[in-house]
Amino acid sequence: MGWLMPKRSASRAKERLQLVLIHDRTDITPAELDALRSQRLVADIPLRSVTRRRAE
Amino acid sequence: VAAGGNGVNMSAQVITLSSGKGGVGKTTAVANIAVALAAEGAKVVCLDGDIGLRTLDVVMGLENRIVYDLVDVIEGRCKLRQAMIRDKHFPELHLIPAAQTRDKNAVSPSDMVRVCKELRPNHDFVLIDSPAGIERGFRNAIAPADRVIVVTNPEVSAVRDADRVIGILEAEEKGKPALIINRLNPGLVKQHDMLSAEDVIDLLGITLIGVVPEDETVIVSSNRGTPVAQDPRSRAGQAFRNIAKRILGQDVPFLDVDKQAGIWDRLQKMTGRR
Repeated sequence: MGWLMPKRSASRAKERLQLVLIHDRTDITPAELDALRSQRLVADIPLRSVTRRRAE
Repeated sequence: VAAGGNGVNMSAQVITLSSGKGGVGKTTAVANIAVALAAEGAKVVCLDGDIGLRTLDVVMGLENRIVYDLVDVIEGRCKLRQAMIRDKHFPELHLIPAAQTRDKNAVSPSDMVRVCKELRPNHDFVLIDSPAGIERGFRNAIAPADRVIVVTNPEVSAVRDADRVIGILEAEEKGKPALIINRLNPGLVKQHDMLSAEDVIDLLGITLIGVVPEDETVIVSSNRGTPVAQDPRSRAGQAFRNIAKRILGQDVPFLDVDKQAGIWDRLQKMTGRR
Protein backbone atom coordinates (compact mmCIF):
# COMPACT_ATOMS: atom_id res chain seq x y z
CA MET A 1 0.00 0.00 0.00
CA GLY A 2 3.05 2.25 0.13
CA TRP A 3 2.33 3.54 -3.37
CA LEU A 4 -0.87 5.13 -2.08
CA MET A 5 0.97 7.14 0.56
CA PRO A 6 2.57 10.48 -0.26
CA LYS A 7 6.38 10.55 0.03
CA ARG A 8 7.39 11.37 3.63
CA SER A 9 9.34 14.53 4.28
CA ALA A 10 12.64 12.90 5.29
CA SER A 11 13.28 11.51 1.82
CA ARG A 12 12.36 14.88 0.33
CA ALA A 13 14.84 16.54 2.71
CA LYS A 14 17.57 14.14 1.66
CA GLU A 15 16.90 14.65 -2.06
CA ARG A 16 16.96 18.43 -1.64
CA LEU A 17 20.18 18.27 0.36
CA GLN A 18 21.87 16.00 -2.18
CA LEU A 19 21.19 18.58 -4.86
CA VAL A 20 22.09 21.63 -2.79
CA LEU A 21 25.36 20.08 -1.56
CA ILE A 22 26.39 19.35 -5.14
CA HIS A 23 25.89 23.02 -5.92
CA ASP A 24 27.76 24.14 -2.82
CA ARG A 25 30.70 21.78 -3.31
CA THR A 26 31.20 22.42 -7.00
CA ASP A 27 30.14 26.05 -7.09
CA ILE A 28 27.83 25.23 -9.99
CA THR A 29 24.52 27.06 -9.86
CA PRO A 30 21.30 25.05 -10.13
CA ALA A 31 20.66 26.61 -13.56
CA GLU A 32 24.12 25.64 -14.82
CA LEU A 33 23.68 22.12 -13.50
CA ASP A 34 20.35 21.81 -15.28
CA ALA A 35 21.98 23.03 -18.48
CA LEU A 36 24.73 20.40 -18.15
CA ARG A 37 22.12 17.75 -17.45
CA SER A 38 20.11 18.70 -20.50
CA GLN A 39 23.25 18.26 -22.60
CA ARG A 40 23.77 14.86 -20.91
CA LEU A 41 27.14 16.03 -19.65
CA VAL A 42 26.27 15.22 -16.05
CA ALA A 43 25.16 11.70 -15.28
CA ASP A 44 25.97 11.46 -11.60
CA ILE A 45 28.06 13.36 -9.12
CA PRO A 46 29.12 11.17 -6.20
CA LEU A 47 28.44 12.89 -2.92
CA ARG A 48 30.95 10.92 -0.92
CA SER A 49 33.94 11.65 -3.09
CA VAL A 50 37.33 11.27 -1.45
CA THR A 51 38.48 14.78 -2.27
CA ARG A 52 35.86 17.39 -1.56
CA ARG A 53 36.81 20.45 -3.55
CA ARG A 54 34.77 23.56 -3.28
CA ALA A 55 35.11 27.25 -3.92
CA GLU A 56 36.35 29.36 -1.04
CA VAL B 1 45.08 11.06 25.36
CA ALA B 2 45.08 9.78 28.89
CA ALA B 3 42.73 11.51 31.28
CA GLY B 4 43.61 12.52 34.78
CA GLY B 5 47.16 13.41 34.02
CA ASN B 6 49.43 14.07 36.94
CA GLY B 7 50.86 17.25 35.53
CA VAL B 8 53.98 15.58 34.18
CA ASN B 9 54.50 15.98 30.43
CA MET B 10 50.87 16.87 29.87
CA SER B 11 49.85 18.42 26.61
CA ALA B 12 46.19 19.12 26.15
CA GLN B 13 44.31 18.16 23.06
CA VAL B 14 42.52 21.25 21.72
CA ILE B 15 39.06 20.37 20.39
CA THR B 16 36.85 22.96 18.71
CA LEU B 17 33.11 22.45 18.32
CA SER B 18 31.67 24.19 15.31
CA SER B 19 28.51 24.07 13.21
CA GLY B 20 28.11 26.92 10.78
CA LYS B 21 24.46 27.37 11.65
CA GLY B 22 23.55 28.86 15.01
CA GLY B 23 21.25 27.24 17.52
CA VAL B 24 22.13 23.60 16.82
CA GLY B 25 23.42 23.02 20.36
CA LYS B 26 27.16 23.73 20.17
CA THR B 27 27.36 25.45 23.53
CA THR B 28 25.26 22.74 25.19
CA ALA B 29 27.52 20.11 23.64
CA VAL B 30 30.71 21.87 24.84
CA ALA B 31 29.38 22.20 28.40
CA ASN B 32 28.22 18.61 28.55
CA ILE B 33 31.26 17.02 26.97
CA ALA B 34 33.46 19.09 29.29
CA VAL B 35 31.52 17.95 32.36
CA ALA B 36 31.59 14.33 31.17
CA LEU B 37 35.35 14.48 30.52
CA ALA B 38 35.91 16.04 33.95
CA ALA B 39 33.79 13.28 35.52
CA GLU B 40 36.18 10.79 33.88
CA GLY B 41 39.04 12.52 35.68
CA ALA B 42 40.33 14.73 32.87
CA LYS B 43 41.62 18.25 33.43
CA VAL B 44 39.49 20.39 31.12
CA VAL B 45 39.29 24.06 30.16
CA CYS B 46 36.36 25.41 28.17
CA LEU B 47 36.95 28.49 26.10
CA ASP B 48 33.98 30.56 24.93
CA GLY B 49 34.95 31.76 21.47
CA ASP B 50 31.88 33.87 20.82
CA ILE B 51 33.18 37.36 21.57
CA GLY B 52 30.28 39.72 22.20
CA LEU B 53 27.71 36.95 22.72
CA ARG B 54 28.76 35.19 25.90
CA THR B 55 26.74 31.98 26.43
CA LEU B 56 28.85 29.15 27.81
CA ASP B 57 28.96 30.66 31.31
CA VAL B 58 25.16 30.51 31.75
CA VAL B 59 24.91 26.98 30.36
CA MET B 60 27.57 25.89 32.87
CA GLY B 61 25.93 27.92 35.66
CA LEU B 62 29.05 30.03 36.26
CA GLU B 63 27.80 33.48 35.22
CA ASN B 64 28.03 34.91 38.73
CA ARG B 65 31.71 34.11 39.08
CA ILE B 66 33.09 36.05 36.13
CA VAL B 67 35.68 38.71 36.90
CA TYR B 68 37.96 38.59 33.85
CA ASP B 69 37.40 37.29 30.34
CA LEU B 70 39.34 36.13 27.28
CA VAL B 71 39.89 39.66 25.96
CA ASP B 72 41.27 40.73 29.36
CA VAL B 73 43.82 37.92 29.03
CA ILE B 74 44.73 38.81 25.46
CA GLU B 75 45.07 42.52 26.21
CA GLY B 76 47.17 41.83 29.31
CA ARG B 77 44.77 43.11 32.00
CA CYS B 78 45.00 39.82 33.87
CA LYS B 79 46.92 36.57 33.93
CA LEU B 80 45.38 33.54 32.22
CA ARG B 81 44.86 31.84 35.56
CA GLN B 82 42.79 34.79 36.84
CA ALA B 83 40.29 34.43 33.97
CA MET B 84 39.82 30.71 34.58
CA ILE B 85 36.60 30.09 36.52
CA ARG B 86 36.50 26.87 38.48
CA ASP B 87 33.38 24.71 38.01
CA LYS B 88 31.04 24.26 40.98
CA HIS B 89 31.15 20.46 40.88
CA PHE B 90 34.43 19.52 39.23
CA PRO B 91 37.55 21.27 40.57
CA GLU B 92 39.55 20.24 37.49
CA LEU B 93 37.06 21.86 35.10
CA HIS B 94 37.47 25.55 34.25
CA LEU B 95 35.83 28.09 31.97
CA ILE B 96 37.43 31.06 30.26
CA PRO B 97 34.44 33.27 29.37
CA ALA B 98 34.04 35.39 26.27
CA ALA B 99 34.02 39.17 26.56
CA GLN B 100 30.48 40.48 26.44
CA THR B 101 30.73 43.99 25.08
CA ARG B 102 34.01 44.05 23.21
CA ASP B 103 34.86 44.44 19.57
CA LYS B 104 35.01 41.03 17.86
CA ASN B 105 38.32 42.04 16.28
CA ALA B 106 39.89 42.12 19.74
CA VAL B 107 40.86 38.46 19.25
CA SER B 108 42.96 37.05 16.41
CA PRO B 109 43.77 33.46 15.41
CA SER B 110 47.32 33.91 16.73
CA ASP B 111 45.94 35.10 20.10
CA MET B 112 43.93 31.88 20.35
CA VAL B 113 46.97 29.80 19.47
CA ARG B 114 48.98 31.63 22.15
CA VAL B 115 46.31 31.16 24.85
CA CYS B 116 45.97 27.46 24.04
CA LYS B 117 49.75 27.04 24.05
CA GLU B 118 49.76 28.38 27.59
CA LEU B 119 46.92 26.06 28.61
CA ARG B 120 48.29 22.88 27.03
CA PRO B 121 50.96 21.91 29.60
CA ASN B 122 48.55 21.77 32.54
CA HIS B 123 45.44 20.21 31.04
CA ASP B 124 44.16 17.16 29.19
CA PHE B 125 41.62 18.97 27.02
CA VAL B 126 40.85 22.49 25.87
CA LEU B 127 37.31 22.65 24.44
CA ILE B 128 36.54 25.70 22.31
CA ASP B 129 32.97 26.79 21.65
CA SER B 130 33.03 28.33 18.18
CA PRO B 131 30.56 31.07 17.29
CA ALA B 132 28.07 30.42 14.50
CA GLY B 133 29.05 31.54 11.03
CA ILE B 134 32.27 31.15 9.09
CA GLU B 135 33.84 34.52 9.77
CA ARG B 136 36.46 35.87 12.19
CA GLY B 137 35.19 34.15 15.34
CA PHE B 138 35.04 30.81 13.59
CA ARG B 139 38.57 31.28 12.18
CA ASN B 140 39.78 32.15 15.69
CA ALA B 141 38.16 29.05 17.13
CA ILE B 142 39.64 26.60 14.63
CA ALA B 143 43.14 28.14 14.55
CA PRO B 144 44.51 26.27 17.62
CA ALA B 145 42.41 23.11 17.13
CA ASP B 146 44.02 19.69 16.99
CA ARG B 147 40.63 18.27 16.24
CA VAL B 148 37.28 19.73 15.20
CA ILE B 149 33.86 18.31 15.98
CA VAL B 150 30.99 19.52 13.82
CA VAL B 151 27.61 19.68 15.53
CA THR B 152 24.49 19.52 13.42
CA ASN B 153 20.76 18.83 13.66
CA PRO B 154 18.99 16.43 11.31
CA GLU B 155 17.51 19.35 9.36
CA VAL B 156 18.17 20.63 5.85
CA SER B 157 19.58 24.05 6.83
CA ALA B 158 21.85 22.72 9.60
CA VAL B 159 23.23 19.90 7.43
CA ARG B 160 23.93 22.30 4.58
CA ASP B 161 25.87 24.66 6.85
CA ALA B 162 27.72 21.74 8.43
CA ASP B 163 28.83 20.67 4.95
CA ARG B 164 30.15 24.16 4.27
CA VAL B 165 32.14 24.11 7.51
CA ILE B 166 33.54 20.66 6.68
CA GLY B 167 34.67 22.01 3.31
CA ILE B 168 36.44 24.98 4.92
CA LEU B 169 38.14 22.72 7.48
CA GLU B 170 39.43 20.50 4.68
CA ALA B 171 40.61 23.55 2.72
CA GLU B 172 42.40 24.74 5.89
CA GLU B 173 43.98 21.28 6.19
CA LYS B 174 42.42 20.68 9.60
CA GLY B 175 41.56 17.15 8.54
CA LYS B 176 38.17 15.53 8.53
CA PRO B 177 36.15 16.56 11.56
CA ALA B 178 34.01 14.21 13.61
CA LEU B 179 30.24 14.63 13.67
CA ILE B 180 27.69 15.03 16.46
CA ILE B 181 24.06 14.77 15.38
CA ASN B 182 22.14 16.66 18.03
CA ARG B 183 18.41 16.74 18.78
CA LEU B 184 17.47 13.65 16.83
CA ASN B 185 13.80 12.85 17.38
CA PRO B 186 13.47 9.04 17.16
CA GLY B 187 9.68 9.19 16.70
CA LEU B 188 9.98 11.51 13.69
CA VAL B 189 12.76 9.37 12.21
CA LYS B 190 10.61 6.28 12.65
CA GLN B 191 7.73 7.88 10.76
CA HIS B 192 10.19 9.06 8.07
CA ASP B 193 9.65 12.74 8.82
CA MET B 194 13.19 13.45 10.04
CA LEU B 195 16.55 12.68 8.46
CA SER B 196 18.02 9.64 10.17
CA ALA B 197 21.58 9.54 11.49
CA GLU B 198 22.42 7.31 8.54
CA ASP B 199 21.04 9.93 6.11
CA VAL B 200 23.16 12.69 7.67
CA ILE B 201 26.33 10.57 7.67
CA ASP B 202 25.65 9.59 4.08
CA LEU B 203 25.31 13.26 3.06
CA LEU B 204 28.27 14.66 4.99
CA GLY B 205 30.68 11.75 4.61
CA ILE B 206 32.45 12.16 7.96
CA THR B 207 32.80 9.92 10.99
CA LEU B 208 30.11 9.97 13.62
CA ILE B 209 31.17 10.51 17.24
CA GLY B 210 27.71 10.79 18.79
CA VAL B 211 23.97 11.03 18.31
CA VAL B 212 22.14 13.01 20.97
CA PRO B 213 18.39 12.43 21.16
CA GLU B 214 16.01 15.35 21.59
CA ASP B 215 15.39 15.44 25.32
CA GLU B 216 13.43 17.85 27.53
CA THR B 217 15.92 17.36 30.34
CA VAL B 218 18.40 19.48 28.34
CA ILE B 219 16.11 22.51 28.71
CA VAL B 220 15.51 21.83 32.40
CA SER B 221 19.25 21.46 33.02
CA SER B 222 19.97 24.62 31.05
CA ASN B 223 17.44 26.50 33.20
CA ARG B 224 19.30 25.33 36.30
CA GLY B 225 22.78 25.91 34.89
CA THR B 226 23.67 22.27 35.48
CA PRO B 227 24.73 20.42 32.32
CA VAL B 228 22.57 17.37 31.62
CA ALA B 229 25.63 15.09 31.52
CA GLN B 230 25.42 15.18 35.33
CA ASP B 231 21.93 13.65 35.25
CA PRO B 232 22.28 9.86 35.25
CA ARG B 233 18.67 9.38 34.07
CA SER B 234 18.86 11.66 31.05
CA ARG B 235 19.25 9.99 27.66
CA ALA B 236 20.85 13.12 26.21
CA GLY B 237 23.19 13.13 29.20
CA GLN B 238 24.10 9.51 28.49
CA ALA B 239 24.78 10.40 24.85
CA PHE B 240 27.15 13.21 25.92
CA ARG B 241 28.90 10.92 28.41
CA ASN B 242 29.39 8.41 25.61
CA ILE B 243 30.86 11.10 23.35
CA ALA B 244 33.34 12.01 26.10
CA LYS B 245 34.36 8.36 26.41
CA ARG B 246 34.87 8.12 22.65
CA ILE B 247 37.05 11.25 22.80
CA LEU B 248 39.08 9.43 25.46
CA GLY B 249 39.54 6.58 22.99
CA GLN B 250 37.05 4.15 24.49
CA ASP B 251 34.96 1.99 22.19
CA VAL B 252 31.41 2.77 23.27
CA PRO B 253 28.41 1.41 21.36
CA PHE B 254 26.00 4.00 20.02
CA LEU B 255 22.79 4.56 21.98
CA ASP B 256 19.75 2.74 20.72
CA VAL B 257 17.86 6.03 20.66
CA ASP B 258 14.94 4.72 18.65
CA LYS B 259 14.96 1.28 20.20
CA GLN B 260 15.43 -0.32 16.79
CA ALA B 261 18.60 -2.29 17.12
CA GLY B 262 18.75 -3.10 13.42
CA ILE B 263 19.29 0.52 12.42
CA TRP B 264 21.99 1.08 15.02
CA ASP B 265 23.76 -2.13 14.15
CA ARG B 266 23.96 -0.90 10.58
CA LEU B 267 25.03 2.56 11.73
CA GLN B 268 27.85 1.15 13.79
CA LYS B 269 29.00 -0.94 10.86
CA MET B 270 28.95 2.16 8.64
CA THR B 271 31.10 4.11 11.07
CA GLY B 272 33.56 1.28 11.49
CA ARG B 273 32.85 0.85 15.18
CA ARG B 274 31.84 -2.79 14.89
